[in-house]
Amino acid sequence: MIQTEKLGKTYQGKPVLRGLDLIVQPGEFVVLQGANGAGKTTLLRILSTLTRPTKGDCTINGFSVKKQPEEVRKRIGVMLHEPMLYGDLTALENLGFYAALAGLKQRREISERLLDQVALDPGSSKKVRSYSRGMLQRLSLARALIANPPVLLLDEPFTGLDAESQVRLLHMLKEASRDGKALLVTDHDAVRSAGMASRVDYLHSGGIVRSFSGAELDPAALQREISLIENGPEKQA
Amino acid sequence: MSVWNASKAIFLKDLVAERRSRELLLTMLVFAVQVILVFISAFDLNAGAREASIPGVLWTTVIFAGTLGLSRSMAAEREQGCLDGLMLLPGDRTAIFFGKAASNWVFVLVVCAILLPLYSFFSGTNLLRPGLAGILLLGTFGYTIVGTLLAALTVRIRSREMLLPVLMLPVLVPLVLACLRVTTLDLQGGSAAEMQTWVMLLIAYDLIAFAGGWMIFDAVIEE
Repeated sequence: MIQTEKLGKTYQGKPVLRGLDLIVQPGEFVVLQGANGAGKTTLLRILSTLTRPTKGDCTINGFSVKKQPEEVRKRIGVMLHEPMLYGDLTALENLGFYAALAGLKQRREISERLLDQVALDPGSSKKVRSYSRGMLQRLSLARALIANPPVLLLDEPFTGLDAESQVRLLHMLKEASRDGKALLVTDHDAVRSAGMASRVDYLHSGGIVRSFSGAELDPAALQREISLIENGPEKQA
Repeated sequence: MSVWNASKAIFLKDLVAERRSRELLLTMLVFAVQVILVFISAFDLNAGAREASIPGVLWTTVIFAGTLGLSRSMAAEREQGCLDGLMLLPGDRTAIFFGKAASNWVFVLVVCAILLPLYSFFSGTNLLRPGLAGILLLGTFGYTIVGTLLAALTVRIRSREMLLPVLMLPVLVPLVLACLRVTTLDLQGGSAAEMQTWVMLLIAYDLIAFAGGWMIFDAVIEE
């Protein structure tokens, strides 16, 4: 479970997050939407212990990112804008390396299974440097899943993927959610968000200003509501 | 996940990546050979000066070539966000320090191993001596420990290539002094008693650098 309490982050005097409260339960698939610079990536970096919050705290399965960052890192799988992969290594070597960092025993078996799942060839001797954006995204997701963490934090995972890869990724994320993992995913596409999420939270001015769930997750209605938040009623009219 | 296992994984990953790219070692080696050749040419006419300059030339070459490697080694982790990947290590982040320092040390030692016979040939002085090997082991250990720590400190700064030597050289003064003195004594056939003080200084420097790095690396690497 992900929980933030009055979370605040200031960069060079400029507040990015202001008292943000958020809860993502196990099995819940939450999509975080918001304009560029709204603080989505900052929130994910704080949750993944890469950035320290200025105010407040957040917990992952009860462990504080401020006080128990090592425990938090054992329970999260993270995918950020950059794939975090070594260009001179093969896909299997990259996953093997992250599996070793995670302290896994059957590194090769787990890596091969994950590569199969993301439709990459485990036997390929190709260096990751020569991979397309879509292949990197898929490999990056496999990296995030390597230790089978109960919480997934994914920043724009659909960026650069072709339609087929998007469907495959969506299927994997839904399966992870069904397995009881808590998913927090940022995405720009309201229609896609409505189709995959159990809840869509809209981040604006450093806080969540609106949550959509259940019947509110109709793609057209969600798009309209988000447009209203972003542009205000005047422009919408 | 123990710090030892994570450090080992990072160390092996660096070796495999370097075996594929040869980027770091080649850069360091080419630079080191060029420096040696420049010095050899400069002291060509004066055999006495050439011999007296060996410790200085040797350590200048090792330090500057090593600085290139240290800067590149940590900067490579920033490509594709790999530094974030390491920071997400589910355990003590000190493992990053140990793993990177170990691989950097090995790279610097490889450069030394190629440099010594080459410099022996050009200078006409036998540098393939067990004593000198020991001094290089001790000296480069402290050097790579301090260098890895400061490379981590500057890795997020745009002008890191310029900043790293500026920050590192003042910190290395005691180590460089000890290395120069003990190398000179070794080449002049000095006794163990004469070298003892400087060797102790080297060992103390290495221990302090190691303990300091261990204690502060987590704070240094944090964003």
